[in-house]
Amino acid sequence: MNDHEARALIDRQFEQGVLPPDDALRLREHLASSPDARAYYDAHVRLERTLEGDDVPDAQLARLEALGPPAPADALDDSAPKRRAPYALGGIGAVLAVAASVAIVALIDDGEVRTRGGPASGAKAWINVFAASGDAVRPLTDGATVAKDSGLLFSYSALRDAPFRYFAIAARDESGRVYWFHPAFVEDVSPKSLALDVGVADRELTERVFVDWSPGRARICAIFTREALMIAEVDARLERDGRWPDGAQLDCHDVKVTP
Amino acid sequence: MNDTGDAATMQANEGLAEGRPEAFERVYRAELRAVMLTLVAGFHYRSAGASKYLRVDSASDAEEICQEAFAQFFAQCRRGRFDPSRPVRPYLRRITMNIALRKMGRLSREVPTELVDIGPAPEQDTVEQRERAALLSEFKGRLDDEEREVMSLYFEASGATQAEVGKKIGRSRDHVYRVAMRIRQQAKEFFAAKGWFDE
Repeated sequence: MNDHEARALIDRQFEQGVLPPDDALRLREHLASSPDARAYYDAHVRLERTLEGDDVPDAQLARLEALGPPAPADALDDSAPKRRAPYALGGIGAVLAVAASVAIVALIDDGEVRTRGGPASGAKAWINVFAASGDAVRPLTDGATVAKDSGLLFSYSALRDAPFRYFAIAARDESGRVYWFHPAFVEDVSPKSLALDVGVADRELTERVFVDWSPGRARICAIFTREALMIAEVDARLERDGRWPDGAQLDCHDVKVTP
Repeated sequence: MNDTGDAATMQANEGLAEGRPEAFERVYRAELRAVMLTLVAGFHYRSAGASKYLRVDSASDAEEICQEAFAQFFAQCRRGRFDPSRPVRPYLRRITMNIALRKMGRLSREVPTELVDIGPAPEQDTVEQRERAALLSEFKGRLDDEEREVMSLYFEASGATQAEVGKKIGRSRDHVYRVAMRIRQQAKEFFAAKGWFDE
């Protein structure tokens, strides 16, 4: 990492809260060796102190908590950089995760993958959406209704030659409110889109996701991209002007949420 | 158990001597703020009979010292040097002060003969603090009503979560997150224009 990259990460961290664990760790290691990056970081913490009126602002504490406790000093190899324990994101799973089993029939034909309903012509990756209520699971076709308190389940398929490596799944309702299904978007954590496996048919995402829907029409979209997206950035633009990320392949499903 | 120990302290410190990760995690989360406050608010110590004061101004220095203090504390727990019948905070504070003095170059110059914790520094009303308060007031004057409300409930009222703030103002947590992000962006621009971020 160079100072330019470090500054970009510090900017992002300041605006969005805690960085993803790998970025946070890389930044820590760079700060340890760069006085310029440290000065830039210090200026941001000074601003956080000013905004919160506290010598130890919550934003700084959240970053330190995310690093986790260091290894005991006698367990460290003094010749190696002192790496901090990675941040465990277990809380997200604990909130959302109820593993569900979804039976999906996939047809494999000449090395290509198709699913019920089928993807848009020429699509290299797509999702299937299911509404789950109790033990009952049903696929959501375009225009289907879904009860407000239903959980949603997803699976994705990606052809072997799909050029995408990342995906995320979100919805925007007719009032402009945005909902995130994958990855989870939780308090002060700014996730990136998720790694995508290619050459898979109906890969189940095993979390049954509940969101606080507003009744009315909504569009659920999978966003397939070559590079990982910062979800907070996508979220802000999506809510502001309804724009999905440029250069992404979208697979969208319109639904009607009932009370 | 010695005379200052009690069952509650022993219970709170359970697992430290065995080096159990969950015990380290628990102590880290419980004591993190106190350790950071020792460093950034400052502390008094005695050296050669005189009372002196040290505050770590750099946030990155303070964070490094904080991590090192916990690493040393956990190592001492594993070596059996920490008596789990005693409370963690004073012991950890002493480690933190020692590391801060060493890191900030004080030990090489002053060699404290008596490292006595005589509490935090008193509140200081410095020129810098007054200037900061004036700038903050000017900044808040530029926010719209909703932003000012989030500023007050989320940033200035320590400990409130975005979900709690959302409930108070009748909006979703996601919405509060976005407003908070917008406030940070505006604050960055405002304070940068005042020369806070040298290029």
